[in-house]
Amino acid sequence: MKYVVGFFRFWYDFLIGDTPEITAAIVVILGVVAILGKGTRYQAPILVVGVIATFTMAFFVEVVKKSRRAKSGK
Amino acid sequence: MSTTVLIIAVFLASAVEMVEALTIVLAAGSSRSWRSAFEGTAVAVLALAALILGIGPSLVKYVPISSLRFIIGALLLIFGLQWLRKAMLRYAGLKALHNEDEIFEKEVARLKAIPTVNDSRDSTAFVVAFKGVFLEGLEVVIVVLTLGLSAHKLLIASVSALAAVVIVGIIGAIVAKQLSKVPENLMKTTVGIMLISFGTFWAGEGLGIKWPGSDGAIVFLILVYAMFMMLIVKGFTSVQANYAKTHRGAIG
Repeated sequence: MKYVVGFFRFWYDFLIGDTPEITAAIVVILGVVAILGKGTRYQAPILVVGVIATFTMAFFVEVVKKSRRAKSGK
Repeated sequence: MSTTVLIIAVFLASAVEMVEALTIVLAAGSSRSWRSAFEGTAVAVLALAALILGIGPSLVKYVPISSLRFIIGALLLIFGLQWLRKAMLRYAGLKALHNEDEIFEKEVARLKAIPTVNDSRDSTAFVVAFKGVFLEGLEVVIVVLTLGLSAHKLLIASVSALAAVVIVGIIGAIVAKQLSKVPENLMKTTVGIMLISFGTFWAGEGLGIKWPGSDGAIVFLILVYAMFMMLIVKGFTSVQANYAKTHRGAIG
């Protein structure tokens, strides 16, 4: 049981960890590309722009978190 | 072209993880027992090689290539974005740089505090070295498997990772306590960008995208992502600097 828990814990930490927003964004982007863009020439641009938006968002989410922590003095 | 990029990506990713693992092995060896630390390292390396050999061929055999590429692409995107986010935060000065010297000193102090048992093998050094190498190496295994399998170049990816392990091991043994000189953040940024570029490419292929320029699109993706990453970090740091200057001016 310990090993099963450890196995799932590893994958949880690996895929989600302290950045659930990244995993959620990638799932949404790939879902959107799969559904809306199928067979169209917009698939590639949507995917690339989505990835750029994700790392921009992930960066600023941390900036906001840090700024809130600094304001609350923690 | 994509083979060269793949070799560089696997090599850099493995080298970064190896530097971190080496810090732990050196700490365990110098504070406890070199022999036990090397034994722990050897067992961990064997376990990691067995993982690659055990999982790799079966995945290729039983999972359809388009599904494999989609899943691998998604994993690389998540994994690469996590690396890139940390690297960006370090460049922007929002996260402390990884200091291997500091980690080494802390680990040595912690290990020295553990009492030694009179035995031929120092189990603490063995376990610490094994865990360090195995856990850091798991990320290497994932990079080797994902990049190697999706490009049908598992052997090349494995050799590239092994080369990184050997080279970092040799350099580490020579420079020993100067691991902080390794430009880890630059390497992590490069790997992060490469991983998300490969991830975009393979996830796209898995979804049926026909990339212009075929494999050459990976290089284009690397350039686009690197450019945007630099724009964001530079933009943020200059806005932050201007804000600090204005505030100082207002206060003064």
